[in-house]
Amino acid sequence: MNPPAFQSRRDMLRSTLNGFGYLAFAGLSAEASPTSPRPALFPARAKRVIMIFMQGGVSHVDTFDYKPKLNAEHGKTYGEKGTSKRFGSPWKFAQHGQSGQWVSELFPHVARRADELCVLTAMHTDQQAHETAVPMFHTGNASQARPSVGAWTLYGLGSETADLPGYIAMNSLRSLGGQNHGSSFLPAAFQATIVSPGGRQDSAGKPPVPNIAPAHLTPGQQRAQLDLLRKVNDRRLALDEVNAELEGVIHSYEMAFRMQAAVPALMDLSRESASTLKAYGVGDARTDDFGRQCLFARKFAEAGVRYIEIGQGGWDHHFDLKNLLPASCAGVDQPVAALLTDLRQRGLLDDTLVIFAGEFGRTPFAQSDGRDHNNRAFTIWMAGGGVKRGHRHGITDDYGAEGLEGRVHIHDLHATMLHLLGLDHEKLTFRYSGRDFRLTDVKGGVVKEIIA
Amino acid sequence: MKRAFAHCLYLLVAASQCAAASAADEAKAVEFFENKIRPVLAEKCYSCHSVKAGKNKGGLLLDTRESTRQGGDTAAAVVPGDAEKSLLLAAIGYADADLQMPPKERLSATVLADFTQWIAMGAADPREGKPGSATTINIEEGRKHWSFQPIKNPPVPEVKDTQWPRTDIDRFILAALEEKGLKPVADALPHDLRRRISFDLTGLPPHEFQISDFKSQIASLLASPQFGERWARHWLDIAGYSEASGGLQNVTLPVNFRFRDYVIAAFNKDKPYDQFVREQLAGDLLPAANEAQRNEHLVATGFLSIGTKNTLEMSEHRYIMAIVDEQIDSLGRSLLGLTLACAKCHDHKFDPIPTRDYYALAGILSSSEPLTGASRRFFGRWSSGLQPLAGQPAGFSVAELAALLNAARDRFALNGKLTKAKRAAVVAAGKQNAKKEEQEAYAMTQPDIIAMKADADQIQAIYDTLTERFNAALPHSASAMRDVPKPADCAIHIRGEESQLGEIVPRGFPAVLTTATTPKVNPKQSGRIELAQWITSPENPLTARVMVNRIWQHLFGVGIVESSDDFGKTGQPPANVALLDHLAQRFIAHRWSVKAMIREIMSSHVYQLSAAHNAAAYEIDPANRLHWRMNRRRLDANAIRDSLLMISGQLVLDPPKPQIHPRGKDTRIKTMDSGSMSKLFGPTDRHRTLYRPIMHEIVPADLSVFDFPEPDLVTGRRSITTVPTQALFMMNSDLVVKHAQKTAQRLLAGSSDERDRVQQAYRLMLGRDSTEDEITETIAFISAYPPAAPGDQNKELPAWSAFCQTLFASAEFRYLY
Repeated sequence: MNPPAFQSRRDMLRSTLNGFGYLAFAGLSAEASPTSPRPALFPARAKRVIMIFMQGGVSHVDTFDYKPKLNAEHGKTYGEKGTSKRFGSPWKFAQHGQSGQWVSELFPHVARRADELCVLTAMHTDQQAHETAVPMFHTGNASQARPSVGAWTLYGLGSETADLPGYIAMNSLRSLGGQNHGSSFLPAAFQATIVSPGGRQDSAGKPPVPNIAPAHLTPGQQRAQLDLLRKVNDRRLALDEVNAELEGVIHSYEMAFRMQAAVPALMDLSRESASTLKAYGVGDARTDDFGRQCLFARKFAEAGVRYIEIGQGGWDHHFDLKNLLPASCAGVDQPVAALLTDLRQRGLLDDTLVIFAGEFGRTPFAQSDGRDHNNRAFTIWMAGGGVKRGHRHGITDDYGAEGLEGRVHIHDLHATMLHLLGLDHEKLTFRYSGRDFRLTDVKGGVVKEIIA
Repeated sequence: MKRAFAHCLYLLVAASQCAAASAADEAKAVEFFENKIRPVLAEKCYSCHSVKAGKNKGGLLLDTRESTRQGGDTAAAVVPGDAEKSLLLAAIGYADADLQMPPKERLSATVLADFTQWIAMGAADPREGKPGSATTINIEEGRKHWSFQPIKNPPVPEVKDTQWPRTDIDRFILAALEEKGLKPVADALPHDLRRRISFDLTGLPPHEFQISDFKSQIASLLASPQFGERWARHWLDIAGYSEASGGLQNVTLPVNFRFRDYVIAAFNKDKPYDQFVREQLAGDLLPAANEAQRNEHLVATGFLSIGTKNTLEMSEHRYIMAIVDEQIDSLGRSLLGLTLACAKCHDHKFDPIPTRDYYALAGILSSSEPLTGASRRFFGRWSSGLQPLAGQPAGFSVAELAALLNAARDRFALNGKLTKAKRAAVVAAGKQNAKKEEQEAYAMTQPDIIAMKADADQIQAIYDTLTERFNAALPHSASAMRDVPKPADCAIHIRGEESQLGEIVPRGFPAVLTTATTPKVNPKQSGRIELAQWITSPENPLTARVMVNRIWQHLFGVGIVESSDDFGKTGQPPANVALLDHLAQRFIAHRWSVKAMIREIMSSHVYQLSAAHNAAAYEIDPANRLHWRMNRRRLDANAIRDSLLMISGQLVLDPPKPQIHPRGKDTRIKTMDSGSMSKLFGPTDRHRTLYRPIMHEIVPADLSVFDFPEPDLVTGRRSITTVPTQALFMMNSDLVVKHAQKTAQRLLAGSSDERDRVQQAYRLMLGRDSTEDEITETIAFISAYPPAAPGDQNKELPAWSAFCQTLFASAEFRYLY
């Protein structure tokens, strides 16, 4: 039997959220839901996150980490046995914008936004396989299921919207181990709502968000039904005199009803202008899917969703790099650039932290006609949300094999993300199994150098 | 790098040794310490390494001479005159990537030279005093914590109102209430109590409306098979039951259901709790009267073997220690209410459990091997097969599993090579742009490729045969434990790192919970027998308390100790320690009978109180810790789904036939979607939710929405959230819509009278009669219900379905009063 763990909604929130670091001070109202907004610990630079996750591992030496020496030594063998062969980038790099960011010709649209980017070239992670590196990236732990960075964010800050889920992911990473969008031991209210990729109905005709629309009732019928439900619940409430749990249930129906209207309205692209759709590449076969994701990401950000993850797989280019990498890049370049432009034009970029990253990078040596995984150095970039514009942090060796300076681990990335959101990664804790857990475990440091 | 640094140090030491010899003046050396060393220690080190700061990170204290020389977990920090052996120098010199102190700020070269010189000069240090305990844990002091004290037999208290109590439990409750000037509220209404009893005992709504004799209702439900199903699920929550390995590979483990069924049977048979625990910890080592009992004992040890495993782990040592850690965590919290796993890397921060106690237990578990059928990708000692059941055809041996895995690996490698070779041949012939079939046909004309293909086919054949045999052996095997051939003690892993082994600790039990009568581990066995004896001893102060507290929690919503998995210092203190001890005593005295304990609690007056509000009592005890009323409790995910099925008349109460799906051709069966799962496990749609396959990370959405726990967690008490996704689920999900319609069909078939239908609906769904208001309101709703399309005549079923769904969606349906 399930215990009513808490005596009242207020107590429930206190028990759920309190005793752990600073959240006790958050001043929760009796009517608050677990995802009601909570103030940051210190002034936040970013109010929300858009994570653009490129599953498989983007080849940094072909995109954002220019390595002329590697290119010059293309084909040269090295190593003790002379079996490794340098693999120079087949693509041209050029400097862009006032900041002179080096970006390869594979990202022509993003290159035009070079001055927005804060590029971290010396990222590293402990994990070499997708199944461990993806959960490492999302939860800070490769071997045990732990809350995702999005869940920690929602736990720390709550949501700014009452009409939409506070944490939305469009890229299901279920086959990649761990709980990449889960809440683990944090309350379930903090896990991501998975919105089907592209935001369209899937082949089975299921809506983009589970149970978001009544398939069996007309609007008039559901209105009649919910009116009756309200009467039934109100009568019981009157009988009980004081019943905060029941008030919570009534509140949850009100919010669900608003979500039911808000989600389809937000995901209806028919009201978008032709120029917007074109800018994001919606309708163009190469970019349609990711263009939709980027456009939805902007709309969710605008509507107050706290943490949004979108993504595209297929970056695991062990073979045929020459043909496959350009195809992958072409699928995301224009939509991502359009997202940056759109956020900037709407004044949203300043407090939206955009991150473009994969779980690791790729080797500067050849593996057949592709590149292998490289967890010792890879590039990610951020934009908006309080990071320096047109900035580059970290240096890799001449080949992009290892970071030399400004190395940033996944734990450091997480610490920095939380910091930009106004949260202290050492204080945002949750008591589970007799221990105060944090996203960064006992590690991680804020990368102050990239903060504007 | 490290070597170069050591060499530099050596030169420095050599140079300064002369200085030490000539400067015989002790005072000067002390002055050097006071000026150059002490300020640095105080400013940079004490915050983590002093008694005053209350911290001894890495077991190291630097606040007295003795403790500084003694060092921490690893080695002596300072050895006078010996720079090489003084670990402190290595740490502050940042010589070793794993040991760099202070962690956030490297000391200057000057300071480093000062320390080097100081040690070379003999490390003069005037800081007298006994070193603070390197382990800050004082076992004798620790024993004073309430839950480590022996269970007392408290006298039944006197109460002023002698009429109210029906049992001694009531006297304990009432005495505490009277002390605060509180009075219990009125008794529950019969229909509320009937529904409460039914859900508490079976997780199902009452199926007979007219019962007024609660004593016989309790007796008959306790004897029903649904009782064991309900209470087994509570146990599976803390055992972390899953039909998959968890971890990153999440291999399906098709015979784990035997453990589930064992637990159900144990609760139904009212197996004494001490016996239940003994079997789960050491069933394979217990004597058995016959084959059936032998098998029962083997299956019971699934408690230890079904936990989460990362079968992708490359290091065998790490693989084993991770399993051991999961077992210690799980048994500690579930059986003892102790967070023992906190002592893995350092002494427990709050409870008197030093790291050595953790490794004393670890030795017992690392001497025991789980046979789960989860094949570690990198085969080794613990890449286990399955435990064959007694009296069955021979199982599938560990050696055969090794062959299966090797074949799988070779097959994978060969197929990879073959693909590469084919591609190279196609490219060499300039046929990259040809059709796939043409490329394939061309490649297969190449002699080397033909040879490779033959090899690959051969391996495939071996692999297929082994897979077939493995699948054939599945029905005769179980996930279970056995002792390893050479049981051994385990070394302390300093900071939990397998690369830093310390002292080897004899197998045994946490010192704070041992007495003169605690059994000693037989060195020839793992020690699980003694572990079971120690835990189930009536003298163990935790075991009975933890279990009666769980029972109380399942009947009242909150335990007497609110943190039911943590009876340590970080847990909540008991709201009524005398009552807890009274129950624990009774539990042991009644031969650890779970049913007797449940019956006793349910017979009390306090269990039968209403959940009514009382402003005065609420003012004094808003959390109702003293039980002036019954708590309102939300149904859990299992009860909600089972109720939907039962009320609509769809529930099949018989358990489904065991489904042992064969392992697929791919040994790396990864996370499956729910569709493939239901295919693999057979249709369990209409059976109780307990029988649905549960696997890590793919808990069905209709369960997770109501807080069904993730299997890799020990969940003594499920969390309760109220979120809009639940409302959407009730409003729009196929499951609720379908069962609302089936329920409506039941109502329509049952009576043609609208009033009767409303009455029947309220009885079925809310377990009570409807009021006149409710009947009027419902009839008005039905008649005004809008048609799906104008002029639609078929509106009776839709309207009644919509009404039934409304009652399912109501808060009252979801709560027990």
